[in-house]
Amino acid sequence: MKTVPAALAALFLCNCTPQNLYVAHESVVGLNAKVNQARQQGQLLFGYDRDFVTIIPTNVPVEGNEQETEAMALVHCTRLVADGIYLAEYRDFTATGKAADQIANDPARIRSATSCDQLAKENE
Amino acid sequence: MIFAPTRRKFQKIMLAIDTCSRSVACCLGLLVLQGCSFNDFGFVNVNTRETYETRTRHIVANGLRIETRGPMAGLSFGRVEALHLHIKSCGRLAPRLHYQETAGLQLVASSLEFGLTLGRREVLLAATGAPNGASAVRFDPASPERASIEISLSDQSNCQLQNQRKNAS
Repeated sequence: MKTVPAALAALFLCNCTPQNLYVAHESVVGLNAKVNQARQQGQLLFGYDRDFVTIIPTNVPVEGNEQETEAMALVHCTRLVADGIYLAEYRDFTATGKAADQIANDPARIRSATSCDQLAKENE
Repeated sequence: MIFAPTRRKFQKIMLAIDTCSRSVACCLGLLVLQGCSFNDFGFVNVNTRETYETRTRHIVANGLRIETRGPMAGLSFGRVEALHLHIKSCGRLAPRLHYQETAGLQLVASSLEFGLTLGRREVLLAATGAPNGASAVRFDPASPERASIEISLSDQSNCQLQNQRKNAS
């Protein structure tokens, strides 16, 4: 439940309904009290807390035919590194729509065009 | 005479409260003396980098700060560091990454959230940016000003579709 405000904040940034991918990370050290005005819910926290949430769109309008909907074509990779209680590094690669289709149809392109491949090598 | 020890205890407690409140007031005073800022005005360091495809804004502010834009709009005492990455898509700025770190006291009063934080709060929000396209972000919170976006693929033909939708609506 605590991740919802962060996710909604991501939606607020785009001022739109969830038709895109959103990744949200929040960490608090100390005292935090907040109320989410959209959902009328709140939290009171004392100490340390970290949230990570991803919203994946599953229902977007079809190009050229607004009446129909489909799952969004998406290629995404996120790397989030925490050092102790703090965020140390963030990397991502995102391809949506036609760009994702192009990558998906060419596996060699996935390996060369995305940083996921580099990340995989680093983890080996 | 019976109440003398109780009275001394009460005086000690009041003295401790007084000392504590003076310390907090001094700390807040020092923070305020460092500077005041309102959005991009005042004692705030704003660095904007623009390319043909992206826009990066790095904001550092100390002291009293009032921010009226975005999901973290509100008032803060202390240190605020923020980074906003946008992708230029079809003549508009699409949010790609928003990062904000606040150390001190923060009061958020936006249309989304109403809250208080005393301590350190770090928020990172990433979105896809353009509806059709591909991009990669590299971000190190230790040096946010060195964050980078790479536009790997773009689909400018989609702009025509978006413009059609915009005109239709």
